[in-house]
Amino acid sequence: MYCHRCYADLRQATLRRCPNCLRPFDPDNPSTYLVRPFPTKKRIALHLVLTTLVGIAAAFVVALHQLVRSSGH
Amino acid sequence: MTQHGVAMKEERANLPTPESSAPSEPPKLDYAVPAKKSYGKDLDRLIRRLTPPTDPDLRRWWWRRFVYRVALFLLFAMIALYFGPNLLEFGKFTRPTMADYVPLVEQRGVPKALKLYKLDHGQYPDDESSLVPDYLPERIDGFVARHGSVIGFVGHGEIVRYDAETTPEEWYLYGPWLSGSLPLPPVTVNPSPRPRTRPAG
Repeated sequence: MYCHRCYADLRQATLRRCPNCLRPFDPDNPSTYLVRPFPTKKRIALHLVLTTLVGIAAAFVVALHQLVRSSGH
Repeated sequence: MTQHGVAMKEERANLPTPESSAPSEPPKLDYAVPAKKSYGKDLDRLIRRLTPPTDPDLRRWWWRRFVYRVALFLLFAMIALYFGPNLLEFGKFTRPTMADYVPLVEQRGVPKALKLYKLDHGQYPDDESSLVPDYLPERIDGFVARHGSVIGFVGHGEIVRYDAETTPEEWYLYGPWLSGSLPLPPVTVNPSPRPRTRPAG
């Protein structure tokens, strides 16, 4: 069992909280912890979408800066 | 009474009696009070997060997460710094090359018209308006002809230039992204069949 937030090992936890970041979890509810200390497929997809969107937004800023620089204004 | 006995008696006299001393307050317990935040603990936690764990299994997963985060960052950098700006500025994912300007230049016939004019008139025109309509069907936007040179203002801030009076004759590109000779042969014309208005030379 591993924490959703910080991937800490929850098997050593005495209380139903992550010993590192204090995120609560329920040993009887598998959705509250990770089976392995790595992002789930859903979270990976979310990361990819967010990275692409933020990258596109940053590309607009970079392109604008390059256009202004090349036009000499 | 011996001296020791006198000392003992004095010491006993100095001791506070139970009736005379005020009831003492219980000692304050400080373990229930949250500890103040300190830079040292946060720094330690940060260092702990940035260093791989000692357990081999956890260490392996730590390195996988590290590679995953680096890959995400590289994806962001490629989109933000290369593919995104190129797509927005040039309409394609990569930077323009010299070959991209060749069709643009080949569609224009200004140097050829310039040379035909010189064959007929013996000298180059003062400006491009003299080439219309005998040598060019219409004036081409963005291209200027002056005394044997053609200058074209193409997209993205680049300028193409053809100088018919230099050796070697070539198309040259000047721009913020690219500069250099275009892969095009020199412009050549056959003698014009039209009668010349002025003697050659």
